[in-house]
Formats: sequence, structure tokens, C-alpha cells
Amino acid sequence: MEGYLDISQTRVRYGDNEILKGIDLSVRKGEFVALLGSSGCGKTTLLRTVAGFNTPTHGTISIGGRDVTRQPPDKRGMALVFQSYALWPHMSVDQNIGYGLKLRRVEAATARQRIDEMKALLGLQALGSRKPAELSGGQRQRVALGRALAINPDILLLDEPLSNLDARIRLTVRHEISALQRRLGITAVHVTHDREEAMVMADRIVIMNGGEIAQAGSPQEVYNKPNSDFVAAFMGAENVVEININVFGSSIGISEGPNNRKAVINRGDRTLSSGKAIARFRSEAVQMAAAGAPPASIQDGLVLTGTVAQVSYPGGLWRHVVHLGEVSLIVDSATRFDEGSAVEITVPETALYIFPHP
Amino acid sequence: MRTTMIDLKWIPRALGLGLLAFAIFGPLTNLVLWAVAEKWYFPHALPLQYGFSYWVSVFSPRGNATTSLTMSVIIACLTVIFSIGLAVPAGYALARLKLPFRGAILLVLLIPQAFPNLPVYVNIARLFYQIGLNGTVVGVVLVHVTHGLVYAVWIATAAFSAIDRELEEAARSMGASAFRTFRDVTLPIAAPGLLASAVFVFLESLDEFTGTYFVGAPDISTLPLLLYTAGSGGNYQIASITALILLVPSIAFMLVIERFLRADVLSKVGR
Repeated sequence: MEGYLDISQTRVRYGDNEILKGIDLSVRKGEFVALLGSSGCGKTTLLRTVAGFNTPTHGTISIGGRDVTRQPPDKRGMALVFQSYALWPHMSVDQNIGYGLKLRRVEAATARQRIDEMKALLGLQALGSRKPAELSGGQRQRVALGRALAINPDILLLDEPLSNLDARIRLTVRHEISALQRRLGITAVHVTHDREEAMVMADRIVIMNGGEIAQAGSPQEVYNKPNSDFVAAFMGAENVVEININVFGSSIGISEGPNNRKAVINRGDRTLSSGKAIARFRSEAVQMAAAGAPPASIQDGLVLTGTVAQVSYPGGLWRHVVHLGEVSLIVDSATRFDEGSAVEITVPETALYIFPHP
Repeated sequence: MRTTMIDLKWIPRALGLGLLAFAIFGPLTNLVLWAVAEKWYFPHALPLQYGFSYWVSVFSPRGNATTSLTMSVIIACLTVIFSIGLAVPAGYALARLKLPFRGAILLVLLIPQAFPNLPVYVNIARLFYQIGLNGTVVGVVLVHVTHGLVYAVWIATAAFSAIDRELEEAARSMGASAFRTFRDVTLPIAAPGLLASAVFVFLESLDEFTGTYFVGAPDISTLPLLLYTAGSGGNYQIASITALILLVPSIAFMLVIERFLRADVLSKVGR
């Protein structure tokens, strides 16, 4: 599959540090790709490299078959929306939005029309003559977006554009941006450290870790089929227990341990070998019951036994901190279990992520 | 008892403020009095007769004040153009590029200030005499530029450093070339700082005496030289009037600086 934006074997270093360790990524025309990772994983460096502000030591970046690796940022036909918005303080909203058009020598009347169009699109009609200092955070963010969209960029690059907004505004702006991107059919690369933001906005999520791509796939894929312990943890499967497994044919046998019962699950497409392993699952993906209930079939999934140490109500479900010997888990349940009560936690096969012990 | 102690606390402060006011306004009052005094001699505390006859003679065609004032302004303007012309590229390079010995370069600009003025100017005068620059406007401007360049480059460097790099990157990303970015984004944002440095250079040039004296006199006469001649000739009225004329641009420009030199630029001076 030939992509529109092709990043191949890209390596970037700052001094002695190699920030990107060989990135291969291909973005289709009109696709919205989110680069997701914690700080320092290289996602912003990758975006800046695509934009032309970092030069790779190795590898190529091409747009529609045109190699742009050595081209300056202004020749790439991309527009970058900065985390700080980077609006020019000496220009009004209109001038900020219209600057790209001025550079392209667009006729005054046409430019005027385009600026008005952008303002209407982003709900900035009344603010044309204001300076950036006189705008709220959300308004600045929209001006920055309007400035980038006004020039009809081949690729829109977004560097955590929502991280400086209030939590409530952020939720609406998320949908505004992705609706706009779909409507205009723009190819977009979005950098974020917010998992939910990436899930909601992107067609494809690229999870980065330590300068490499950990996993790339649709939101459902990376959420339901994490390919590594890191991705599973990053995508919210934060409960972790150690188990012993036996792989035979299309099944995986989990031997009885101090805190879990014997179980047999389908191997599916997991590639594992027998021995020590770690199991991960999400707090809300399990069933909890009082201990002593009739033992379930060993094929229902992994059954863990522990005692409730703490209960709280964050809204919706009750949140329990459950101790399994040394291990402590967080488990959500519709019913409340008292502190000190013995419980059984059943993790269904589909919600159980098993990885080799590191 | 307690209340009287508190009441007395204002006395040292009032004394301090009074002394400060006297130190600032005492000489100024003296200056103003001399400028309008027709007759004033010992032991009288105040002038015996007031009038503007010296003002008339200072600004008369026979008096040198108008010529000196014009010359001072021309030299100051040329110094500003020359200094800022050099300081804009130099300041940008020092602020933005990864220059080796950046600190050393900033320090080198201070050297003309570090040595005693007199020997430096005597030697410059000797050098300029050999190449025919003595007694020319160009020669005096060059001397003033060595002075002005410190302010110009240091403040320009600070003004450029205070600009967020992302503002420039945003322009590049929109499709502006490096030069266009500098013209449309960097320069307008740095303009207040650059204006302030221009004002400093202008004032520095207007006030400069030693260098002008050695390199310019007697062919070039600026206001400070006129003031010196009048003062050393015992003509306090002419000297005071000249000093007042010199005071006007200083005060005017200080107001401009206060308006334009922002704290974030000031905090980066010399960094």
C-alpha cells in the first residue's frame, strides 16, 4: 500500500542522543493519524521532522512520492499547529489567518473571502480585528487552526493543540477538529499524550515508546489487541499479575497459583511459550463476586482470589482496591463489596492480555 | 510614648528624600537660574536681574548654538543608522545562531568602555590624522559608533532572544522564506527593543564629549563642545542654555524608552 506521506527508516539525533531510532510510517491521503506516547518518546520530534524543523541523520520523508527530506519547512506544503499556538502578537486575527495567503500572493478580495470563510468555520466572526493577547485560550487555538487551514495544506500537523485548553472545552474542540478534518478531507498527523483524545479523533493510532513505534493500528486494534506489555499498560490495562502458563496446541493452560485458580483459555493469535508470564487486564473488564460462590468452569477465564482493601465511588461503578498477597489491583464493580471481604475476580478470556515475563 | 515614637519615624525618611531631591533638583535649579540670569555675582543668593538676552545671542546667527545643535543631531542620527545597521544582523546572529565564543564576542564590544577614554581617543586621533579622518563628520561618527555599538548590540541581542522561536517556525511552516520570516515576524516583534537601543545610541552620541574633542575639534563643533568652550570661558549663561537644550532630547527619549522597552527584553540584556 503506497501512502501519501511516507516516513521510512527515519533516525534523528540531538547531540549524542538518538531520539528517533528508525521510524517507518505511511499515512494515506485523508487519513487522521495520532502519534500517541508519554513525554520524551519522540512523538513531537517525529512531527517536527515531518514539518522540516529537524533533519534526519538517516532515512527519507516523502509526500506523494516527492522526497522532501532535505527541503526547508516552507517548501513542504504542510501547516503546523503549535502547542503554544505561536500566534504573531503584532498581527490581528485576520492578519494571522491571512498571512499564508499573503505569502502565496492571493488576490486581496479572494483572500478576504477565504479569511471570512475560516472565521465562519471556526466561529471567530466577531474577533477579526483583535490581537492574540485579547483572546481566550480556546479562541487562540481556533485562530491557530484557521491560520493553518486557510492555506489548504497538503498535510495538517497538530502538536498537542488541545493540551492548553480547559478540560471541558477540550472535549468539544476534539470533535470540532475531527469533524472539520473529515469534512475537508485533510491528511492530518496529530501528536498527543492523551489516550482518549487519540482514540476519539484518529483513524489510526501510532503508539511510540523510546523513539520507536510500539504499535500502529485502528483505535479498536490497539485497545483490544495490544501487541506488547507496554502498549497494554499504556492503553489502560494497568492491573498486572504474574502467572505460569502451558501452551499446548490452540489452548493456553494457566496453572494454579497462590492467588489464582487453574484455567484454560483459547490461544487465539497470541504468540507465547510455556513458562512464567504476566497477565494484564482493565479494571472495568472483569466480574467480581463474593468468595465461596460455586466454582465456575475453568474455561470462563482467569479467576483471581483476594480481599478488598479499600472502596470508593468515583461515579458509575464502585472502585475497589483488592489485595492479592503482595499484588494490589483496582477493580470496578456495579455492586459494592465491603472492606476486608474475600472476593473472586473473573477476567474473561477476551479481556486478558498475556505477555512473556520480561 | 509609643505613638510619639511612631510619629517620629518619618523624619529620617523625609530627610533622605529631601537630600535626594536637593541632589537632583539643586543643580537643575541652578542651571535654570543661570539660563535666565542677566546679572548674578557673589555674595547674592539669587540673580540680580532676569532676562532672555543670552538666549537671543545663543540663537542669533552670530552665535554657534544653532550650528552646533544641527551638527550634534546630524552626527547622532548617522551614529544611530550605522550602529543599528550593524546591531540588527549582529544581535540576530548572537541571539539565534549557535555561535562559538558567544560570550566572548559580547564582551569584546565592552572593551572600548573598559580602557580609560583619554589614551584611547588620543591614539584614535593620531590614527585618524594619518588617514585624514580628523576633523571630519565621518571620523566623529566612527568614534561615537564604538561607544554606541555596545548598547545597540547588547539590547538588540536581548530583543531577539526574547522572541519565541516558535513564532518564527510558524511563519516558516506557513511558507515564508527565512528572510521573509525575519522581515514579517522577527523584526516587527523586536522593533520596540531596537527602538529603545536606537534611543540609547542617540543620547550617548548627543552627550559624547571626549572623543569628539580629540577627533573633531576645532572643525566639528557639537553642543557638548560648545558647552565646554562657554563654561571654560566663564560664560555660565551660555553654558546653562546649552545644557538645557541637551536636556530636552534626553528627557523626551527616556519617556519613549520607558514606554517601549519591555521587562522581558530587559531581563535578557547581556545573556
